[in-house]
Amino acid sequence: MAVTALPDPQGIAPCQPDQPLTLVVADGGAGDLVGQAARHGMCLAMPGEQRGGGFLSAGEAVETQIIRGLSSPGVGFVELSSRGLADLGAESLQVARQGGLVLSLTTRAAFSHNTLGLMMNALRERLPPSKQDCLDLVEICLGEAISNAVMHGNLEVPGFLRVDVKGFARFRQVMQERLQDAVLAERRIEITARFPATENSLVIAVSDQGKGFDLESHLGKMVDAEAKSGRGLALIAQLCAGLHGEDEGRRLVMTFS
Amino acid sequence: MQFRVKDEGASVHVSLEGQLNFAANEDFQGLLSQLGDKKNKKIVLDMGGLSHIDSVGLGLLYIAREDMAEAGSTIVLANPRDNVLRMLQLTEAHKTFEIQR
Repeated sequence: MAVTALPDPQGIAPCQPDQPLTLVVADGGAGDLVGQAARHGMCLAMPGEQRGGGFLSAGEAVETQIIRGLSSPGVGFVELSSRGLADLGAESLQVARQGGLVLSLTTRAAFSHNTLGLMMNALRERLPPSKQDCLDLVEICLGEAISNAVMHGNLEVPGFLRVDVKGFARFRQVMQERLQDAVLAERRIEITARFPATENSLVIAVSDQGKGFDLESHLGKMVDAEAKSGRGLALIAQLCAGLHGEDEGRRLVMTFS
Repeated sequence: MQFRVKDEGASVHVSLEGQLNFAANEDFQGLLSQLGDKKNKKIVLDMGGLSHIDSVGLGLLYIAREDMAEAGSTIVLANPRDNVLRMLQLTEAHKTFEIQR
């Protein structure tokens, strides 16, 4: 798949056309992984075999593997679910081709690993000291965005089942049930970070594969309903420099300056 | 999240470690169960080992507060790291909870 250089509306450095991307798979990969990778415009390589261009690591969601994938010169980690690369987001791969960072995990793995901490460590490693000031805010916003994507996005835990005294037992029960659900727990959570070359901003997006939601109307309602719902979203809106939704609310795009 | 409970007579010291977030529900329920028999105590939640708290984790603190109040106990939040304290302040939780640093 050819990626063309588009004029960027958000002041992000233009991408390099046709930048190759290699998927590095430690155990060689099973089934139709070669075909799946090819459909995403990637070739496969064993560790140490990759040549030129960016490379994404893929495999089971084991912490050491995730950390290796997110470390320079890698551009991220993609968990191989029971269906391999199925449902991997095209947008995430585009970010990887442009030198950004990608973490794509099933909901089950995103829940059981310290997803936020892994991503924050990778961001601290990548950003020059002069651009690290925003990372305190990034940590709060990214934490809330992951939480929303896992609970309300992919696991479809309804917003009214808030964590409160009355609902806590029910909330726990629903979370447990949904994490056991093969379909819901295999949906992907994808986190991407773009590091614009010239602009003093960092763009972080969190995607889920749930039913989506109307971000604009939620943002409009939050002024008087802060305590009851959307507390995480209200925090994000308060702290980041820019916020918008894409893909019918399944992707939350946050800009930090 | 991991926790350790130490009964010190008039007060109970609870050290929390890791992340108090959307994935901490079951561990937090374990903590509440363990604190269930503590009546009329000062429960000190030592947050020194907490690397992160999110809005779900804050909700859990409010649950604990209400739960403990029924047993005549109060909760004090101790030693939050800068980022955790910032979160408590941003959400105005510092107006509800006593915070010791």
